[in-house]
Amino acid sequence: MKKVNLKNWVLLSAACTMFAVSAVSCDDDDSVTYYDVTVNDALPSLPSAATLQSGTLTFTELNTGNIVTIDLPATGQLNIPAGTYNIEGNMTVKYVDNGVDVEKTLRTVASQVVVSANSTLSLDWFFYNPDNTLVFGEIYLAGTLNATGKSGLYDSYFTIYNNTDEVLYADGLAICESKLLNSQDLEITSVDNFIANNFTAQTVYVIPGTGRDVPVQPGQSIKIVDQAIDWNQQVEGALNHTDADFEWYDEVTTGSVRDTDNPDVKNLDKWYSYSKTIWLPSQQCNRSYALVRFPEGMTAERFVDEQSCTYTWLTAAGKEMSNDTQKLIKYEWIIDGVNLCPTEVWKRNALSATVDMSYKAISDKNQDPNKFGKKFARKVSGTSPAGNVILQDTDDSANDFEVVSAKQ
Amino acid sequence: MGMSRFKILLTASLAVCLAVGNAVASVLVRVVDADTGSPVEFAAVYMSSGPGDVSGGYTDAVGRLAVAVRPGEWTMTVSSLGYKPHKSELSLRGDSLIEVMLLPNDPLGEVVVTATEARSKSSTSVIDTKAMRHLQPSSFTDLMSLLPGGIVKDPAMGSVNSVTIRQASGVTMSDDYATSALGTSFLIDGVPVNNGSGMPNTTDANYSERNSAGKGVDMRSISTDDIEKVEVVRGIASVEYGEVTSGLVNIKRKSGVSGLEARFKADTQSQLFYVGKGLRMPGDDWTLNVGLDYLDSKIDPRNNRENFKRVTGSVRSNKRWGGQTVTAEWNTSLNYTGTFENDKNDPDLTVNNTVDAYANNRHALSWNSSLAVRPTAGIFFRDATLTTGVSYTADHTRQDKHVAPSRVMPLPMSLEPGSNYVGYLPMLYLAELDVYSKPFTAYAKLNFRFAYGSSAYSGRMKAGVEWSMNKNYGAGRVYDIDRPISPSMSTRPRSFTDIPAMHQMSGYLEHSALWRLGSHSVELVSGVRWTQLLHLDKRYLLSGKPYIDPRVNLVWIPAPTYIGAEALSWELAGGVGLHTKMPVAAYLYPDPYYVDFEQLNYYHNVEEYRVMNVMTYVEDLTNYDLKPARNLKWEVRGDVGFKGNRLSVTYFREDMRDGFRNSGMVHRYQYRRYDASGFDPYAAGRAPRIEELPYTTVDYQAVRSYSTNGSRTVKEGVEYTFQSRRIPSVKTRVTVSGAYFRTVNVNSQSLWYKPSIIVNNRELQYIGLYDDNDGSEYRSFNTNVMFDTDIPSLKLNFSLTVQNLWFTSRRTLYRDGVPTHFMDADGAVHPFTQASLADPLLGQLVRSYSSSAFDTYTVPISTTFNIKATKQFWNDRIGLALYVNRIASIEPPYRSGGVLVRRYTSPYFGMELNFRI
Repeated sequence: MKKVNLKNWVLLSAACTMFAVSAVSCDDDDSVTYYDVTVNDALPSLPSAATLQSGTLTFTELNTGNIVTIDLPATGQLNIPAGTYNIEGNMTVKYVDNGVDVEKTLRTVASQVVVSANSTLSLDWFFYNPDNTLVFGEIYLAGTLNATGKSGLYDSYFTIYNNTDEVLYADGLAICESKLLNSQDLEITSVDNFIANNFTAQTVYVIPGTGRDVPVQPGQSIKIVDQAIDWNQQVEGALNHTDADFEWYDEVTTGSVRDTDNPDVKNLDKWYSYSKTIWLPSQQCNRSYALVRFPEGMTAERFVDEQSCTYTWLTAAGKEMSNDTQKLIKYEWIIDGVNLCPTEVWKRNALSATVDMSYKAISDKNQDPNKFGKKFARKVSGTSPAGNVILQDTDDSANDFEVVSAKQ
Repeated sequence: MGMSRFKILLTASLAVCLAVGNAVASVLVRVVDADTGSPVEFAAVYMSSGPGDVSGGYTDAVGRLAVAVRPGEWTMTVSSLGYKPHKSELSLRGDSLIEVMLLPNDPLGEVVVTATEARSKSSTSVIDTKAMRHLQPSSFTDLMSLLPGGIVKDPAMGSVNSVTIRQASGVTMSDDYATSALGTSFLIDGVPVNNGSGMPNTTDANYSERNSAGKGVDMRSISTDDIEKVEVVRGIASVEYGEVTSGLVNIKRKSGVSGLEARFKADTQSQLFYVGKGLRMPGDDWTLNVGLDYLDSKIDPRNNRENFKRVTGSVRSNKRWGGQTVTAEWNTSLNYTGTFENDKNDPDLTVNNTVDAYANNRHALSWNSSLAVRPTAGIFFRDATLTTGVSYTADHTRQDKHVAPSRVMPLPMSLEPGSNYVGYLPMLYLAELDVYSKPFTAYAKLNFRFAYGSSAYSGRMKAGVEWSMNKNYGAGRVYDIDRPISPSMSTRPRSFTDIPAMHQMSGYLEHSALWRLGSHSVELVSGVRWTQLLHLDKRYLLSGKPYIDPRVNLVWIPAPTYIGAEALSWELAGGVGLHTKMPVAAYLYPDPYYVDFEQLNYYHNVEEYRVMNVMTYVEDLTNYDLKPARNLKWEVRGDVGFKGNRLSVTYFREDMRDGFRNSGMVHRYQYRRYDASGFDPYAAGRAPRIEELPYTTVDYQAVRSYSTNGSRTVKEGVEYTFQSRRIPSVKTRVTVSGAYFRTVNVNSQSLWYKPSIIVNNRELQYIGLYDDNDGSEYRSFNTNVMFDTDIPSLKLNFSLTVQNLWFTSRRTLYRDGVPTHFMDADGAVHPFTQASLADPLLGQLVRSYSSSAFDTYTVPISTTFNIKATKQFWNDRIGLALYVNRIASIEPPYRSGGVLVRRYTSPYFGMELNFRI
C-alpha cells in the first residue's frame, strides 16, 4: 500500500482542549514540562483528494492516567506535557471514487510514545471497517485445571458469532493461529513475514462445506472445540463439549494415536499445520488468532503452494534462524482477529493494528494460576433493530473483550 | 630423607664375577629404580669398548638385558626416561650379573604436579599420584583436564560423564556422534571395563542424560584414590589393546606397603572420604592393599533431593615367587563400586503433594587377576602373562511419575501385531517403572613376550589372544503397560535376557625392531590385531567376519647436538594405524518398535458405544548390515630436550567414516480406515465393529531410525607440552600445554528425511534423500600455563594455572537442502530434478536455510586463573590442600551478529585434609 505523507494535513494546536492539563495549570505543580510535538500523518492511498470531516486524537499518559484529547482538525502546534503515552486517533474522510462520494473512517494507534523533548511524531492512519460480520465470540484456551492441578486441560474452544441481522454462512472460514509469539520481539528478517505485510500462520483449519452448508443465525454462534467430549466426566469442573458444532481432529499418522474423534461432531478440514501430530492452541494465551475468508476458488493445495514462505529471524544472540513451517495470510482475507498475551510478557502483536489495534491479556502475570478456567468473551454493545445482541467489535481487543469464567 | 639418597652416588653398580676364562662373556644386566627397587623396563643399555666395538639393547619387563661380549674393558651407559643416565667402567672377565640402580630424574621432593608427556612410541600423557594429590579430584573426570587441550570444568554429577579425547571444546553432545566416547577403552590393572551390554533404562526424555548405554565408561564411577598411575594413550596404541578408536586409558592401581592413608575432601557440591593401606603379609613377597572411598555429591547444593553417591572398595594382593629357573608374580583384586543416584521433586510444590522420583542404584563387583611367569635365564622367551577378569553388576532404576494427561489420550499398548481394540488413558495415574540390568562380563588374555638380537639390532615380540564376553541377565524394563511413563511410548516392556551373550575374540602380534646406527637409534614397532565377534546370528554381516588393524610406530632418536657442554636431545616419531570398535548390544539388539495406526476412532458421547481400533506393527529395527566403527589415525611428533627443559609437539589426524548413529530408513505400512458414519449405535445398542464397516485401504510410509555406520568424525590438531626444569632461584617450574583442535562431525551416508508437513489433512507423502543434511565443524585453541612452586623447607607446593581458551568456534557445514532423490507414495525412488523443484508438493521437500545459517560463530578469548596449594605438617603425616578454580577471570564481552554477549563466571573451590600414619 503506497502511503502519501501529508504533512500538516491535520493541523494541531496547543489551543486544543486539554482536560488534564488545564486542571493543574494554576497550582504549584511546576515540575510538568511541556514540549512541542509536530505530527506527521501517513495516510493510506486514496483515489482522489480527500477532505477531513472530523476526528479526535487521544493521548493517554501511562503512569498518571491523564488524558489529553485533541479535536481534529486542529491548527497550530501541539504542546504536550512530558510523559509516556499511548495514542489513539479516529477521523472521517470524504473522497470521490469513480464518481461516487465515499465516506470512510481512518484510525491510528501508537503505544509507549515517550515525550521528553520537542519532537516529531509519525502516525500511520489506516482504514477502519467495523463490518459487523462473523466474529470470534468467545475464545477459551487456558483450560480447566487438570487432575494434578498443575496445568490446564485442552477443553479449549472458539465460538464464531453472527453479529448481523441476517443469516451468514461459516463454511469456508478458517481459524488460523499465529506463528509469532506476542511475548517475543525477535527481529524478523524475511520481508513477507513483516507484521505489516502479512499474517504469518502456523495452523489453518477450515470449516468444511460448499459455502451454504453451515448457516449461523443472527445473534447465534457455532462452537469449535479441540476434543468434542464431556470433559466434566474426565475431570470434575471441566466443560462439556458434546454439543460442539465442530472439532479439530488430528489423525496422527506417525504411528501413535493422540486424538479422539466424536462421530456425532464434524471435523474441521486441516489445510495446513506445522505439527505432524496434534494442534494444541496456546494455553499461555500468547499468540494471535484470525478468522479468515479465502478468495473464491482457493483450495488447500493452491493455498499451500501459493502462500509458502521461508520465515527468517534473528535470535537474541544475533544468529539468523529460518523456518518453513508456516504460511502467509493476506490481511484483506481476515474478517476478524485477536491478539492475546499476558501483560507482563507482551512485546508486540502478531496481527497488524489494521486487524486488532491492541491485545487482550488473560492475566497481568505470566503463568498466573488464576488463568485456568477463564475465557475471553466479547462484550455486549447493544441490541440490533431486529432484537439481536450486538457484540462490541471495534477491532480493539483490549476494549472489546473481557476475561470471565468459562463456566456457564 | 631425600638428601641421604642424594649422597648415595649416582652409580651404585655391582659387578660380580661368576666365571673366568671364556672367549665370550655372557652379561646379564638388571636395571632397577633406586628409590623403589622395582625393575625399569625399556632402559637403554649401551656398551662400548673402543671404536666399532659396541653392544647393547633394551631391558625387558623385569628390567633385564642379556648381552654377549668379548671379555675386556667396557664402558656401560644406561639411560631411561625419567632417570638420570648412569655410566660405569667394567672389567669383564667372564659371565657376569650387573645390577644398575637408576636414580629418578626427579628425586622425592621434586614433584611434578601435572601430566607429563611420556617418551613412548605413541603420544601418551602420564598422570601420577603426585599430580593427582595436587589436583584434588573427586572422580576420574577431573583428571582429563590435565591432558593437552584439557580445560578445568566443574563436576557434573547429575549426568553421565563421557570421555572426550582430542576433541574441540564446545562440540554439541549427540547420540549420533557418541562413538568417540564409546571408543575409549579403560583398563584397570590390565582388565578392560566392559559395558557393552548396558541398555537404555527409562524412555523418559527428562532423564536421557543419565542413560549411559552407548556412551562408553561413566567416569563419575571411577575413584582416583587407589590409582598410582594413569597413562592416556592419545595416539596409535599398541595392537595389544583393542576397542581403542579414540584412545586408551590405562589405570594402574597402587600396590606395595604403605602407611594408613586417609583423605577428606569437601567442595561446593560434594564430600569425599577415603581410607587405604598397604600391608605386608606373611612370607617374603606378599603385599595386600585395601582402599575404601565414599563420595556424596549434590547436583545443586541447595537441593538435597537430587544427589549422586559413590562407594568404592578394593582389596588387592601382590605375590611374587622367585625360583631357580622361573619367577612368578600374581596380582589379584576384588573390587566393589556402588553408585547411587536420586532425584525427587519437592512435594510442597505440587498441588496433591505427590512425589515423582528417579533412583538408580548400581552395585558392581569384579574380580581381576594377572599371573606373570618369567624364566630367569635370558633366553628368547621372556614372559607369559595370563590376565583374567569377571564382573557382575546389579543395576536397578526405579522411576515413579504421576502422569496427568491434559487431553483424553487413546492407549495403544497392544503387544501383538495386527488389528487391536484399545482403550483410553486415565486422567491421572501413577506410572511405576523398574529397570533391572544385570550385566555379567568375563575376560581373559594370554600375552607372550620374546626378545632376541645382537649389539646393533635387537628385536622384541609380543603375541597374544584375548577373549571377552558380556551378557545381561537383567529382567529389563518392567512396568504396567496400561500405565506408561510417557503416554506415547514406542517401546514396551523388554527383558534384557532376550539379548544374546556377546563374545569377542582378538589376537595380536607385534614386532619391535631397534637399530643402533652409531649414536642414532631407530625403533620400528609394527603390529597387527585381529578382532571378531563370535556366536553371532548368521544374518549379521559381522558374523564370522574378522577385522584386521595394522598399526605402525616409528621413533628416531638422532645423536644429541651439544651446545657447550649441554646436550640438546632430539626425538622424532610418527605412527599410523587402524582402530576398530565393535558395536555394543544396544546397537546390535535394539528394542522392538511399536507403531499403531488408527483404523477406527469412535469416541461416542455414550461411553458404551466408544471404540478404538488400531493396526499395530511390531518392528524389528535391527540393522544386520552394521559394521564396526574404524578410525584411521596418524601422527607425527617431535621432542626436544635441553638442560632439563622439554618441548613436545604432536600433529595428528584421525578419520572415522563409519561411526555409529541413528539413520532413517523408509518403512511401508498398510492399514484400513473404517467409516462408521453409516452406523447407528442407538439402533444396534452397541459400539460398531470393524467387520461390519466399509473401509478404505491406506498405504503409508515413514522413516524409522536404525543404528548405522553413517557418522564421520574427523579430528585434527596440534598438541603441545613444554615443561621447564625447576628454576632454582624461585623454586618454580613452568608448564605450558595446550592444543589446537579441529573436529568435524558429518554424516557419511545419505539420509532419508520426511518433512513434517501436513497438506490437506494428510502428511506429505514424499520422502527426500539428502546427501548433506547434518554436519558441523568445531575448532578450539587453548594454552594452559602453570607455575608451580615447590618449597621443600616449608613443605609447601603452590601452583597458579592461567587457562587461556583463545577461541572456540562452530560452523554448520554448507548444505543446499535439495534432495538428490525422492520416494513417491508407491515406494519408487526417482531422482530429484528441476521439474520436481517446480512441482508444488515435491517442492516442499526442499529445506531452506537462512543466509547466516552457515556462518562461523566464534567465542573469543577467555582467561581464567586457578590456584592450588598443598602443605604438609608433622613429618608429612598431615597434608592440607585447597584449590580455587576461576578465582579470577578475564572474559571480555563480544558481539555475535550485532548482539553484545557478556560472560560471567563464578569460582569453584574445595579443600581437603590428608593423613598418612
